[in-house]
Amino acid sequence: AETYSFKFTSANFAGEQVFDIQKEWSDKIADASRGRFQIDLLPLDSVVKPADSVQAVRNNIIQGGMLTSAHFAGMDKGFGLIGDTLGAWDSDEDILKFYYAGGGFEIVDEIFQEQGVKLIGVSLTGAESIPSKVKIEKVEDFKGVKVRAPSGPVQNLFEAMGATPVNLPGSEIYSGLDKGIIDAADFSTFSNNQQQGVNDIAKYPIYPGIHSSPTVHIFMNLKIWNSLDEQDQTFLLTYFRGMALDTLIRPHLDDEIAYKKAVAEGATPVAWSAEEKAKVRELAKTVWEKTAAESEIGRRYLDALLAHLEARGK
Amino acid sequence: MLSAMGIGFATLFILVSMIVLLLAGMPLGFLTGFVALGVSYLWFDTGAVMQMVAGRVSDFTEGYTFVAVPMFVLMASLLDKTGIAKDLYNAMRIIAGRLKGGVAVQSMAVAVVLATMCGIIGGEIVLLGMIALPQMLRLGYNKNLAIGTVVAGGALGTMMPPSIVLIIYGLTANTSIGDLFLGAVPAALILAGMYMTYILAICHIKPGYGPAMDAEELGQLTRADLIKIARDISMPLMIAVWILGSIYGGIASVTESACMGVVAVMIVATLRRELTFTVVFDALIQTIRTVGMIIWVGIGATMLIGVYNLMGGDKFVSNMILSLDISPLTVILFMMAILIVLGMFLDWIGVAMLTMPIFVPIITQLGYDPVWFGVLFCVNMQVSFLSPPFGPAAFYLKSVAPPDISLTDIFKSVWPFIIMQIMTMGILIAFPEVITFMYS
Amino acid sequence: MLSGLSKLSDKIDRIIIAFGHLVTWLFMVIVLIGFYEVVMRYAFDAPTFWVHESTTFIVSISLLYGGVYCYSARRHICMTFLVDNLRPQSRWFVDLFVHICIIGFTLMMTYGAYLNALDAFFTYSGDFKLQTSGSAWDTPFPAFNKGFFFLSSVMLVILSVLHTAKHLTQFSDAMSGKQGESEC
Ligand code: NA
Ligand code: NA
Repeated sequence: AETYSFKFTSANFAGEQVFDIQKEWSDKIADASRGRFQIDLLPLDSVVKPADSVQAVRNNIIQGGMLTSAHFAGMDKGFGLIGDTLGAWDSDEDILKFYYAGGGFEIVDEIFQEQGVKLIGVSLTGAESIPSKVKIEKVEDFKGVKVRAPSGPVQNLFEAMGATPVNLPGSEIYSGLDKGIIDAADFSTFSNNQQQGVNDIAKYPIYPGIHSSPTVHIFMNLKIWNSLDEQDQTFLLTYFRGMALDTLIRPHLDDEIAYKKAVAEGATPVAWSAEEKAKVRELAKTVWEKTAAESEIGRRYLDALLAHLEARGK
Repeated sequence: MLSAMGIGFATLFILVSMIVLLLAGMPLGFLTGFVALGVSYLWFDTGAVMQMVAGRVSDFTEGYTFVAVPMFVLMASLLDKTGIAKDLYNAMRIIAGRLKGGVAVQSMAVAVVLATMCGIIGGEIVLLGMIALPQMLRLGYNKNLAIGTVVAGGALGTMMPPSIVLIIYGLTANTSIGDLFLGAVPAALILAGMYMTYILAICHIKPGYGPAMDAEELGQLTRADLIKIARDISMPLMIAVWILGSIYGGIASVTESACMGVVAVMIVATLRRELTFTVVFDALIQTIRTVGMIIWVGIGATMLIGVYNLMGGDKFVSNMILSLDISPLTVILFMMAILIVLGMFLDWIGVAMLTMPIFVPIITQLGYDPVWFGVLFCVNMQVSFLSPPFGPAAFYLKSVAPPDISLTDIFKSVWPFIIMQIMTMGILIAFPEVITFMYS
Repeated sequence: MLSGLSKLSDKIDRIIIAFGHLVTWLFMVIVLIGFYEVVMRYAFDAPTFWVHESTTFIVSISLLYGGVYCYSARRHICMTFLVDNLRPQSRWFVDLFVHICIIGFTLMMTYGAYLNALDAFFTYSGDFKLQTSGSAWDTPFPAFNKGFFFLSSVMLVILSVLHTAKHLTQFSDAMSGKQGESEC
């Protein structure tokens, strides 16, 4: 039978836990498929920039990707909303509920296919914590706080909460927090921050995260997908559905272990109340609507999501 | 076509074609890119991959990290084209007094201070190359010693925190950037200490390498001279305090502080009534000349690494290491050797992009401290800045040095410093405590 | 015909260099807006949304143009220690080889840059739509950047062909033992 050797790109550095999990699953697919599929996972920037990965996959320079569609916001704003629906999820598990049981997968797959790529799986990176040098316990506390935020929607949300968003490149976040150029930052998961020493310099990380938990989309070249037989297609879909479980539980476990360590080392993680989190979601909704008003695919996605949330009484 | 021959052959093919084109005199800014694009076609049998290879160019130039390079070049040019630099060195010469090689040692000390303000390769070298080098030559210093002092001292910019090399390593390896910064300080000081000792020793052994003032000249100094010295030193000192203050006071990011530096120099030049249109214009022309040339060398490296990773070169390198049945220490030494060889041909960022995803997991598996390895990597990249044929430090210097200094002169001058860098790596491998005590 | 091209080559080089002397003022713009950002953020707690994005874009186009400029000004860096020892006759052929490689490089890069620009200017379904930054400001800078990269590549193609033509005119000089102009 025919065998397939693919290159997939990640948007994570090789040292991050998320990458470890992605890499493990990419490596194991050769065994699991009895050698039918082989996937080489490329770390961030080693071949293509995340923002250009859809084009690269479509043009068959690489065959797939495992990264949040938020990186494609420059192609269409809707992808920013799809990749990171701020404040929408009570927990990371909710993302999988929406995609794998609530009809989310079908709608997003349709949107991806219009770009010449096929959605073959959804996974997670874990909710982002917000390392902060000042104690922020409620929305009001954000007033006047300088927060580094990367993308448009996140900046808009922080602005809506009263914070002052600051543009800094990723490579300057650590020094920026350390020297006090910024007070807080939208950075990474709690355990990543702990490992990089961020919680040592910003002692009041907001955790569990209140705003952002990106959805990682696993996608591949649509033409190659269409050339696969049904069994292979089923295999890929099932295989990556299994990966989702790993990306749900392992970052959480890592975060819990890191939490204990951080507290022992003098950090004071700040957890938000349910009421305050609800306020964040209300503010986030205006950001969602703004995107949906400007993007047709954003509208389609949001309608499906709102229906899903309403059915669950959210 | 090439893919039928395997990745090992392709690697050799890349190296040989680079060397041939290099010796033929092809501009380095185009050479690596040419090899990258050519190999992409030969390996994949299609021009489609050129989209990715070429695309890495505009991705690279868009990177925010490079903003500081033109800023530092501009600042250096302004210091040079106004009289600030010359006055500073006249004063330093008098302070050095009868110490042979004193001005070179002072330049090294200046380099260490500058290194705390500058996190990228190039900025500091350009600064020293425009300011210290002509002045040392004017004061009769040996050409090779003066050049070596400038390139080795200037390269410390990425050894001493803040450092983009350590930051990129920290992000790739997911280790504490704070610990990396702490651990890098002793390593940087060991390097600087060695350089200074070497300068003093060689100036002591070889008369004429670092001429000192004689007693007679020193005796003739008047009170007015001393006041002038104080003034000539205080202005650059104020600029340094301003930049350091803006970084460590949380006012500006490391990159922004380079802009702050340019503003400060322009203010000082205005006070000295030296800020004319010609000065600014000349400085700007110098800037586009330097960065246009240098950035394109880095562009080539990033194109090549993109293709090489796509060809599976990353796996080739990692298999090469994993297949060896050798002791952990030998693995480290082997990695250092690979880094030195890669550093001869590629920009550091290319080296980091290719090797770190491979090396760091192996290091952690073997039970080594990734922070320690990061500092070691950083020292190794110091070698890469100096080593021919692709030595960014040498290129930066060449772009601003007096025209009679050739690239060959520069590469002839760097080897004592490369030896000291390798010795430093030896020390860090033999006594990891030198670094680890800082953060554990 | 060739000597006409040689003159044209010098003329175009001069134009590129003269234009570079305008482009380099962009660095001063970067200084000023960078300083403005620091002042606004530190003194007024009002960081801008536009400085960072503008800076990376301006730097990118100046660096790209800087490469073209250096090629015209023959300021790129080469290792000539070996070829410097050749007789002018042999040197001419080695230089010709280098010129041809440079043409090869610029053509391949232009092709790649063209494909990139297409993706940045048109959607998959073929509609004209500029790729944007996706930030709060959401500028079309990424598309402009890729477009400018394509333009720079085209400039390099033209220059490399003209430089080669100029080199060809120096054939008889080289054969009679006269050292020609070097690329660096
Ligand atoms: Na530094
Ligand atoms: Na080198």
